[in-house]
Amino acid sequence: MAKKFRSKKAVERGTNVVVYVVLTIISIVWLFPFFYLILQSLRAEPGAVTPYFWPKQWTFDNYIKLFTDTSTYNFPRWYGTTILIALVVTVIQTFIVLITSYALSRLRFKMRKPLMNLMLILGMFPGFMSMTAIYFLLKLIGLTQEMGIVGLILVYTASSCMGYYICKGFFDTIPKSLDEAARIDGASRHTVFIKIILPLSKPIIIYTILTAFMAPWGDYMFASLMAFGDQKYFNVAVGLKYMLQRETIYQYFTRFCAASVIVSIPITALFFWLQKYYVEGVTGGSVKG
Amino acid sequence: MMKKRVISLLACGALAVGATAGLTACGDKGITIWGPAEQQQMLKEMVASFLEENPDFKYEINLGVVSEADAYANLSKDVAASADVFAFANDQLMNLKTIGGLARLSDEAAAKSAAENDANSVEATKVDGVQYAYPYASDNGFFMYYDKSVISADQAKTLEDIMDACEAAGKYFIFDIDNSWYVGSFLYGAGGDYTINWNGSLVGSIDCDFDAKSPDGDYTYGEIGGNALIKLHKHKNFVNGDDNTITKYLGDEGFGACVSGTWKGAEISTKLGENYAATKLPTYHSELTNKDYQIKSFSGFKFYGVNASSKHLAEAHQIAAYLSGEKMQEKRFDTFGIGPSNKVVAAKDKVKSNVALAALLEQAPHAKIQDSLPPSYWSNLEAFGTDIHGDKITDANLKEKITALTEKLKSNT
Amino acid sequence: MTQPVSELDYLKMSAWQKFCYKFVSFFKKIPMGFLNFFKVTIPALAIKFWLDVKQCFVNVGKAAKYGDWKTRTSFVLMGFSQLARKQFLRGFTYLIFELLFVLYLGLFGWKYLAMFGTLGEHTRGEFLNPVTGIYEYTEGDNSLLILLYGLLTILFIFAFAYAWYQNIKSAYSTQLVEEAKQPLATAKEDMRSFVNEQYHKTLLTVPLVGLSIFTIFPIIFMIFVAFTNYDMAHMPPASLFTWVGFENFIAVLGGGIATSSSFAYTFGRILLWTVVWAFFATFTNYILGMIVAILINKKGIRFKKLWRTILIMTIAVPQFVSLLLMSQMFADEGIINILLKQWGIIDSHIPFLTDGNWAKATIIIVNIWIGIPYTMLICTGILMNIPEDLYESARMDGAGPVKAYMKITLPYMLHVTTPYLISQFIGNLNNFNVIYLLTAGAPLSLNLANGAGETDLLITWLYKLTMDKQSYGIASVISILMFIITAIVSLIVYNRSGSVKNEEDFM
Repeated sequence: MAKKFRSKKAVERGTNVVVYVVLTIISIVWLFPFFYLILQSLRAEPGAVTPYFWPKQWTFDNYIKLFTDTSTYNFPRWYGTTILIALVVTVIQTFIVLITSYALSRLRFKMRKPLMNLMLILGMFPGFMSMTAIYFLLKLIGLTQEMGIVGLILVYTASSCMGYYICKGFFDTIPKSLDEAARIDGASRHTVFIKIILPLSKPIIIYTILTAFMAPWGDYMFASLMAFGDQKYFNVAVGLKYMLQRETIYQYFTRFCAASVIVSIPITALFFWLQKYYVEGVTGGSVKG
Repeated sequence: MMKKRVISLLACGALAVGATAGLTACGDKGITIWGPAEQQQMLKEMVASFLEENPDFKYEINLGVVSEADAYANLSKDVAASADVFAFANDQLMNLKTIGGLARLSDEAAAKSAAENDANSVEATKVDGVQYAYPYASDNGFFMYYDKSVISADQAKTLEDIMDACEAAGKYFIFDIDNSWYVGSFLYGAGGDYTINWNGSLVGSIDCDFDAKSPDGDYTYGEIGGNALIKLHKHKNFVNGDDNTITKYLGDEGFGACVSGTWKGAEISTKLGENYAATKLPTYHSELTNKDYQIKSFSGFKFYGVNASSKHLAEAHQIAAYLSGEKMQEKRFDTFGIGPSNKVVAAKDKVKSNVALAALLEQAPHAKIQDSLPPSYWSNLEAFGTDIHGDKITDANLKEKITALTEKLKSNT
Repeated sequence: MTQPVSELDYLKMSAWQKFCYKFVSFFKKIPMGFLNFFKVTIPALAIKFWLDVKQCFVNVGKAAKYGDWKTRTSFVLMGFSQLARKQFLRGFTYLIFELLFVLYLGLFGWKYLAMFGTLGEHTRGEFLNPVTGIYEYTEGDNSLLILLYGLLTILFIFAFAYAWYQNIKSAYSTQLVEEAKQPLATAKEDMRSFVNEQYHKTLLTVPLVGLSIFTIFPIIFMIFVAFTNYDMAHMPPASLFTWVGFENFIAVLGGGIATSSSFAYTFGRILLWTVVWAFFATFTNYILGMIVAILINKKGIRFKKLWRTILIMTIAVPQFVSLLLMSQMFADEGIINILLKQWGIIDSHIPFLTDGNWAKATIIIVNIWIGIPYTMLICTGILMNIPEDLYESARMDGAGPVKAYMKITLPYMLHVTTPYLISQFIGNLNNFNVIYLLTAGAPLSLNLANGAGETDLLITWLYKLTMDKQSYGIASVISILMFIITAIVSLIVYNRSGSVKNEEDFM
């Protein structure tokens, strides 16, 4: 019966301890794969799987070799290519998403609703079925292989207006009275967008930038089609996949892990730094469509 | 309205200009060669020696990374943009021919290739009797590696002795039972067969007799092989696993024996040192018929093909012939231990004394030449092996599973 | 059909019941939605389209009848009327457009359009060059390029026809303005309207051009492919493919490709698993994600940013890396089995990815690992939006945390996120990446046909069917059917979700 007399504060503290324990367990589960990845990247013994968890010999060679031993796998070049693509895609995609979302959120025109419906359903067509058509379209204007980077940027950004949903939701939460006041003062719609809405939209702009920056890192299928076997034009995903082939996995698995860690670092750092905005962006706009 | 039109107009303009530019100013990219990633360095050296021997060769030579296994997957996307010369495994020959990826060898080149290379490999380059590729390796098969300190050369002859030896030493026998390339070996060993009747380069019909009665008793070939597989799988010193697993057991000191191919040789020999040995696959004893059967392997080849859409056919043929020639096959053996199809190179002492290649040669009489197998072969045998591994196939339902397997293989679904 | 509940009954339900009711009634409405779609929406669109086209002809006719010579010259030379009336910006835009179009058609488009009907007649030939002794190849027609570029040309012709019509309309209307002695719109005025009344055109032109070329056009292309016999045996450049009408549709719908008796069984199994997967993937993520969000946001819990960051890391690492790694970790000889064995929890390995049922469970668990961070983020935002005084008054009434959760938090969450949930569900039906990267459909089984594996979803199976035999014709038909179903369901969801929110007010 002692329980009954325990103060409210004690109960609160008790539940908090439980919550901390649960959160710690969750964190361990979520971090375990990354931890394992890092361990593997520091392992000196070759091979894809080892029957033990901790490496027997530690080394930093896997990282060093990624950047020095480039005759077979030119990782620095793939990395550079991917960063370049990601940066350009980020700029273009952010621009497109913002203007599309603004138009759909603030402007009223005849085709608004049908357009939103159209963009919603287009994403449901199996993407791989479109690959052939897009590839030969790009080939027609010479944007494959040597110009593959430009082609990839086009492919990644061309349809980015379909991702308007969250951003539009955010714009919807900005009070319309702001626009109207400015309009009465004689500002054009363009001025309203640039001078009033955008400065208020820092979280969603950063959210859009983050999501746009991440997408190009994981694309394998299209990037491999565009490079068509020429190592010079690989992105990170295509290159890393090559390391895991039957003939090479034994020798290169640990290096693959090192490369994955390096790929993850900038994105994770960016996330850590901009997390506040990311949370505000996604929560401000996610469900208020 | 206007802005929209200006933009769409610009887009159309860009497309139109690009289109005409793309059509007229098709720059000459020289000649591209595709080879696997790990061999790029060697390929570079080969090209350098080619250019040395042909100082007046007019085109630039570029290298691309596409492994022998992925040649068809890439060519099928766009033949015209694919390499002029590419390496591929022989089971892609028919498909590559079907989609127009392979150029026919000149009669002279075909005669030369046929004279220099092993007859089986040359036969495998032919569609309707016409040669479409240059063989350069004939080691795409599997056999057995084992640890001499665990298994004696004599014990290595039968699967039962191998398993006993492993059990005694607490070591393991590793075989990739859910891999379609390996699992068929027991069925072929029992006497079953699978043949494709080609209609040109398309699959005409398929004969498969896994469900036919063996002359050895009241059992089908499939049952004899399947029963042995089930028995093997139940053994506590058996491990189902791929090349990664082999690596793992080598590091774990649990390695007794395994079934794999030449590409694994260097690694295993480093790990086992003096105890490294390789031989043909063992025989297995069937409890059903009370007889021994020799496990059969596939024997496959690797070829260089010339792209029929190449802009410089003559030069592409010249390079393909060079890369598959005697000198280059020897270099390939020296660098990677790749088994040559060239008769002169194969007869050299250093090749003969290579443990892995010697085992492959020993296996050769018990090998089935690997045809261009359709997707239905790979998926159904993988399903068969997976079901054995998952204990979904037991002695009780083996017969009906074999019937289902045969039916699917025959109907190519 | 059960009786729809009355408003009163609905209000009496608990949050869970309300939610279930909404969820079930949503799916019950789908057949009606389909019916409506075909009976009402499509005819209405068709009628509207027909009226628009008619109006176009009327307008052109008027311009031809009453137009002056300037307007009439515009029929042939686009932009002439505007140029003659000193509207240079408009005039030159039309003129340049026409020039480019003629150039495109003459130099490039025409030859593909001419072969569009047959998709090419000349197959590639092989001949012996007697001088070099080498077998060479004549360049045959390429059906794929004819279809693709022919289609592109047809779309450009439509675009041109539309521009031509606008040109006539604009020419005639400026003529009328001029006749009425009114001032004509100057270039400056034209430009100004584009940052005001016409601002949506300024903003949306670039996004929509991109969308049309890289998303809509490929879909149209694939729809046309469904009417051809494009497969491995009819693949350019070696051979040609051609139109086959509805043959592929008949093959798919009439069971023609079901050459083995187990095809229907396989299809049923995969469909069932697809639905089961979508259900579990959606709800496990939702419920667990919400719980995690509540834990992190609980008052008095410190390091909120740290907990969130740890979870968000899974979003930051490229999915192909984390999934490839997961597939290694869960392998029979992977690190998870090794650790479990070392700790003495199991004796022999657990077939995480090699047994059908285990693999299904593993995939759902891995998907939780991937998905919870997103749900956590979304729930965090909504939780922050719940007015604090609601909890305050609940506390006054003596409600404990669990009761407050059941009475306030959960109903609020369910209310706000129902549309999100349903769209997640539909998204999961088509979730290609997780399955493809984690198991690629494995393990296979002799019980299933046509290369299908235990964990294949419809979409990954379709991918296999396409890649195996390059049967693009058949695959297009299946994609179109899948697309129609998911698209209509989503449209119903989407258009209903808005009304759900407006008509029911929670507070």
